[in-house]
Order: sequence, then C-alpha cells, then structure tokens
Amino acid sequence: MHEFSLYSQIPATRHGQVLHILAGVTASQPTSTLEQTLIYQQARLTETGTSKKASAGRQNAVPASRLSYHKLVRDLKGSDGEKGPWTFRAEDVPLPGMPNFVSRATTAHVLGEAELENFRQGNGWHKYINQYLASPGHRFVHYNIVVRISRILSVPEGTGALEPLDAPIPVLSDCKPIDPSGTYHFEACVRVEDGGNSKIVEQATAELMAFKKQVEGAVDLRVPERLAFDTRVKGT
Amino acid sequence: MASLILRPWTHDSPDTSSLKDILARAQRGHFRDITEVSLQEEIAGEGTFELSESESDDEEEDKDEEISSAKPSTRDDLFKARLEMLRHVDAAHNDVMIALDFVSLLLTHDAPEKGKASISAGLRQEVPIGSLGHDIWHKMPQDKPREAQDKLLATNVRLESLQQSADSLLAAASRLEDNVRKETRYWDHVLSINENGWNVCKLPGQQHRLGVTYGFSDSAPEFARRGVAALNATSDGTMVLERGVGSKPRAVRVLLKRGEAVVGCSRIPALRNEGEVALEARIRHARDSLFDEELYHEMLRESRGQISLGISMKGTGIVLKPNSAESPHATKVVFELVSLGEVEDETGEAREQDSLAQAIALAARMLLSQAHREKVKKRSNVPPSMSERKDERTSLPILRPIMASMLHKAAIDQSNSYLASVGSLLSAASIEHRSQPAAFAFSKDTEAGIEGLVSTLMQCWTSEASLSLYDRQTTIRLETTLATSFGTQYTLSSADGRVTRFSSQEELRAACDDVLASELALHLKLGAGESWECNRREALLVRPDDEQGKGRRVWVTLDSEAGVLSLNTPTKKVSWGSPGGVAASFSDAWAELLD
Repeated sequence: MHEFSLYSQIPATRHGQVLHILAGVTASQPTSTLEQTLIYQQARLTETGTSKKASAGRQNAVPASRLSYHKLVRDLKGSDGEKGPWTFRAEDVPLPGMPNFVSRATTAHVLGEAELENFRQGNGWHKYINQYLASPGHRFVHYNIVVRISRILSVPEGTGALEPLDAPIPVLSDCKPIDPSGTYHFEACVRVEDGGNSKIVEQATAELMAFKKQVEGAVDLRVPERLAFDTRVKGT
Repeated sequence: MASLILRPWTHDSPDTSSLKDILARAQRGHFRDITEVSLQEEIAGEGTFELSESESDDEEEDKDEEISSAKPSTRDDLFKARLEMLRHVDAAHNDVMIALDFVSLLLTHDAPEKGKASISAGLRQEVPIGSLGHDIWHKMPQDKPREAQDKLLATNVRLESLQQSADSLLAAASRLEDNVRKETRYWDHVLSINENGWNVCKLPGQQHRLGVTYGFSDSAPEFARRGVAALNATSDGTMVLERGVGSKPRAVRVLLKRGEAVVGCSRIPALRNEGEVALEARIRHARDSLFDEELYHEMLRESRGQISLGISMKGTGIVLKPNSAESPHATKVVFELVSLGEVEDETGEAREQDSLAQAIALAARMLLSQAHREKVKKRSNVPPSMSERKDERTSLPILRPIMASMLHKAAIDQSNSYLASVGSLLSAASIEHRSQPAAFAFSKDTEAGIEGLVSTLMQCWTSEASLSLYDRQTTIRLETTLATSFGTQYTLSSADGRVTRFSSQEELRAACDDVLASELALHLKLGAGESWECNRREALLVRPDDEQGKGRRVWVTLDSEAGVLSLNTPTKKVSWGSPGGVAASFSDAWAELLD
C-alpha cells in the first residue's frame, strides 16, 4: 500500500496543549500506545523462484532489488493490556517531486510464528541492528488520517545481546530520549490500499492537506528531506 | 444690488465618510469615553494653550533681539552674520523684483512700451502682455439696514444648523441607549442558557451569530446536522430559536397491545417543566425530539432488514410480535412517533403493564446511546487503508435485543405453564415430584454503570427449568439469541443423559411428555419385579406370557395438551386429569392392574 505523511515536532512544554487541540479536532480521546520498534537489515534477497506462493499473495509489494532495512513493530499497550503481535513493516524511499507531503510505498502485515523465525538470530535472512521505543505515545484518528505523537527513546547498551524478539522489554527509566530536550515527534499519515488508483490518491492527499490547514498555527506540518527516509542498505 | 456669491466647484464628491473615520480624525479615542465633562475640560485647556502660545512667541522675540545685539566675537560668528545678512538682502531683492514685475504687467495694459521695458524675461514668457487690468471702485455707502438683515440671516442660519446637530446627537444617544439595552438582554439570555448546561457556540457559516448545540455528534449525518440552532434576537430583545426549532416536539411512545386493547403505555415527556423559561423548554424539546426521531428512524431501518423476525409496520408504528404463531391475543409491542401536543390524554389512566412499556422505551433509548458510544470507539481505531470499498451503514441493534428478551420471557412463561400443568397432573395422581421453574438469570459480575446494563441486555439469554420425578431429573434449557437463529432454542436433557434440541415449544412438549412417561414406566418396572420388561422409548411394560398364557402389556401416556395422564392396558384405562379425575393414586392403580 501507499502512505502519505507529514511530520512536525512539538516541544515538551506544548505537548499537553497539542493533545487538547487534537482531541477537539478529532472529537475523541487519544489512545495511549507504547511502541517498540526493532530495525533489521536484510541479509539476502528473498529469491523469487522459491517464494512464488508468498509473492503472489502480495503482488502490490514493491519488488526488492536492493537490500533494505526492515522494521518489526509491536504495541506493548494493547487493548487487553498484553503485548500485541509483531507487525512487519517495509518502507520504500519516498517518491521524488512531492513538495507537499511524503509519499512512499510501504508493506505492513502481522507476522505469524513461522515468519518470525526469519528474524531470529542465526537465520541468514535478517540481521538485527537496533531498536527504539516510542513512549509516551498517543494516537488520534481523524477520518482516514492517523496522527501519532510520541517521544523516541533509545534503549540502554547491551539490549541487543539477547534475542530481541523474546527479550524482556527494556525498563523505561533506563531508556533515554534520543532528543535530550524531550521534544515530541508528530506524524500524520493517510494510507491508501492501491497507489495507482488516482481517484483514491487524490482523495487521500486532499484530506491530508485539509488536515494540515486545519491545524495550521497549532502544529506546523512540514515535509522533511526525502533522502532522510532512505531505507536502502549502503554498500550493496 | 443683489449680492452674488461665487463658490469654487468641488473637485470630488462631498466626503461622506463613516462615523468611524470621523472619530478617528477627531482623535479623541473611543466614542464611549467622550463625555460632556471631558469635552469641556478640553475646551478650557485649549484656551490656556492659545494664550501660552502667544506669550512664548513674545519671549522668543525678545531673546532673538538680545542675541543679535551681541557683537560677533569669533570669525565663525562673523561669517554666520554675513551669511544671514546676505540672505535677508536676497529676500528683499526678490520681493522687490516681484513687485516690479507686477507693476510692469499692470502697466503693459495701458502703456505697453514702458511696461515691456521693465518686465522680466521669465514673466514675459509665462503670461501674455496686457492680461492684467485695473479698475477703480468707489467705496459703496454703508447700507445699515441691509447689513443688519444680513447679520440676522446669518445668525438664524447658524442657529438652525446648531439645532439640527443637537437633534441628531440626541437621536443618536437614544438609539445608542436602546441598542445597549437590547445587547444587555441578549447577553443575559445567552449567559443563562450557557449556565443551564447547554453548549453555546459560534455558528460555522455565519459570523456574529451564536447558536446552541443540542444534537449528538455521533448520530447519523442527517441528524447531526440538525443538532445546532441559531439564537436570534427579535426587535424587542427577546431571544428565539431560529426557524421554529423545537416548536413541534415529538417523542417515541411504546404501546403494549393485546388484540386491540391497550394494556400498557410508556410515559412521554412533559411539555413544560417547572421553573423553565420558554426558550430553554424549546431547546430541551428540540434535543429530546431529535433523539427520539433518530431512534425511530434507526428502528425503522432495522425493521426493514429484520422482517423475518416478526417485526412489521402497521401504519406509522413498528409492531413487534414475539410469537407470530400465537393467537391474536398475545401481547404485541407497538413503537410510534407521536407529537407531544396531541396525545396528552392517552396517558391519563394507569394500566397494568405501564411499567413494562416504560421499561421497553427506556431500553430502546439506552441502546441508541450505546450505539453512539460504539461508534466513537470504532472511530478511534486505526482505520484500514483507503480503497474503493464503500461501507454501508449497518443497522443499529435496537429492536433485536428487545425482541430477544421478549421472546425469552415468552418462552419462560410457556415453559413454566407447561411445568405447572404437568405438576398438577402428577399431583392429581399423587406422584411425588419436584419442579423448578425457569427464570431470567443475570450474571453477578456485570460492571456497574450503563455499559454494564446494556451489555446485560444484549447478551444471549439462557434459563433452566427442571422437573424431578423420584429423584431423576429432567431439565429443559432455554436459550434465546437472535444472532444465530430466530426464536428460543430448547434443549431437553433426560435423566439418562440423552440430550435433544428443539426449536419449537410444541415439539418440546411432546418430547417432554414422552420422557416423563418413560420415567414413570421405569419407576413402575423398578417396583414391579423381574418378570416385567420395560420398553423405555414407548413407556411400555411387558410381562411376557407366563404359565397361564396371560401376557400383560401396560403403557403410560402423558398428554399435557389435553391434560391427561393415563395408565393403559389393551383392555382398561385409568386416567387422571381434567376430564373426570380418579381419586386413586398412581401406585394404587398400578397395583390394581397387576391383578
């Protein structure tokens, strides 16, 4: 599927105010989330010959011609209070020539046990690089737009030694924010099933732009540099 | 001689600037602050200012003379003095040349050669010669009466215009006072509405107008749009809602009918509460009416999809018939949307099932609120990625839970009446038995609050009834849920462990009769001894032929429809029940038959 997103930064002092404003705009209360993201480097490409069955089901996915970084995300504050399932997420480089928003093709699906095996240590498919936590996180939904506000924390040294999929969650008090000033990361994104359907794409982008205009003044959404989103592995 | 007044033609239109601009020019600040006193002070201040100005002028002149009388001491001062002197001389020269030109021009008219000789070249280029002439006028005699008349006219005109401005100022003042009064009243109204809890907001489309919201943001779009009404001020300052909103309030009323007679009716809200202003009554009516209209609309939508459940329309009312196969004397529920003003009289007397009708009405409203809450929750979940799919609005489950509980209640009543009739038969035959009727079962751990109540209402209803004959228990289990199938599912478990499911009451009865009959037969066999064989399924006891060649066959039948319990042989029949009971007990009759 295709994603269109806009980003911003909220200073720590304004966090409460922005949450209030968004609650008013969306007419609903935020859902608090605690997301753990693991970053993996693809060690080798999935061979198209042997995995025909798998790729037939995912024909919308961009064929990987180079190795890229993949993410495994899970929400630790699920609806039942237990850890949610792991979701695989692959993001492409954003399309060039889009000055108003970031547009990129992504793949995301929940992983079953068999697929999780690919990510464990020792399997040649993926190599663990790093992980980070997004906490405290809040999520708002406004029609088709998902807004996420969170503070990115890096995990203490040595967390990667154990198998990260099964390791206990790093203690929050030990994790330090990546940005020492405690700024919050704000992301607004719309997802579209099929990036080629121009009608839906227009609808989605119009909605995103309308949302940007609506919160203008309170939150200034902008487009970060395109190559900062590059997920290709260098040197291959 | 008539005087001729020449006025220059105005170049642009007279300046009709707005009051705001004039005030800005007047530079006295906001007109609210201008009072008579401040203006008078200003006038007094100005007078002194003028005087002081002329005084300071004299002082300056004296100082100047002093300075100029002091002799120039330094070389710079000397140069400065020289420059000043030159400047004065230049100015004087200039003045003289201009005067010369003037006189020359005048002269060119009468004595051209002399004039041309002295006129300067610059003036000669600008102005043609002989273009300025002169005349000598004699001084006119002073016309005293005319002058007096002129003065009088002037005074009168001045007086008239002053009067006019005074009048217009007074009119403005009174209008201002009126406006202020109206504004105060408007804001008092708005504040009172706000204090009573209604939400006053800015209307999205129109500026300078306030509105009150009473709608529910999670309703269907056509109802959410109607949830705002503008507050308009009328000419005398009272406030009305726009467009007659809230003037014809409607409410949903539940009627319980048996046949054509009304046996229960729900309450409709009062037209005017005590201590409530007309405006607030209107707002309240508007909100209640909107909610009930939405409720009716959603019920209508639901009923269209659920005709198979026995929900139908009759006129404008939605009719729920819990058991469609039952006689027309069964109770049916009718929902209708009525206008508050028209149906005051129906609610006069209290009827026997008024509380049930009221409960049904409340349940319907609670279910709608719950549906709103569900909508908010669903909205907060991450939506799926956008695609061409359009989701249709599923109908909200309002009638279905009500129907389910009514069906379950009807099933419980029927089961209990069945048990009661069987029990009476068994008692007539003096058979010892114990029965436990079915009842609504509520789980103990429902969460408090309205969500708990509604979830209880929407659950799958189950109840159990049991009948024990000689310590062998037969259980009937009732399950009602409209999710899987229509109607109650009955499960009959006999004491042997056989479990059978039925979906209609008649089948259940027949099966239960058979089970009980076979229980009785079994009991007889146990007491009778070895020679008898019992065919459980048919409740038949057979004693095969003995030495005398006399075989015996006895069977038990239980018919709860007809209300008859009987012990039969091919030749004789002993029965208990409605048509002519027998006083003997069951065991006695059996003993009799044995011989």
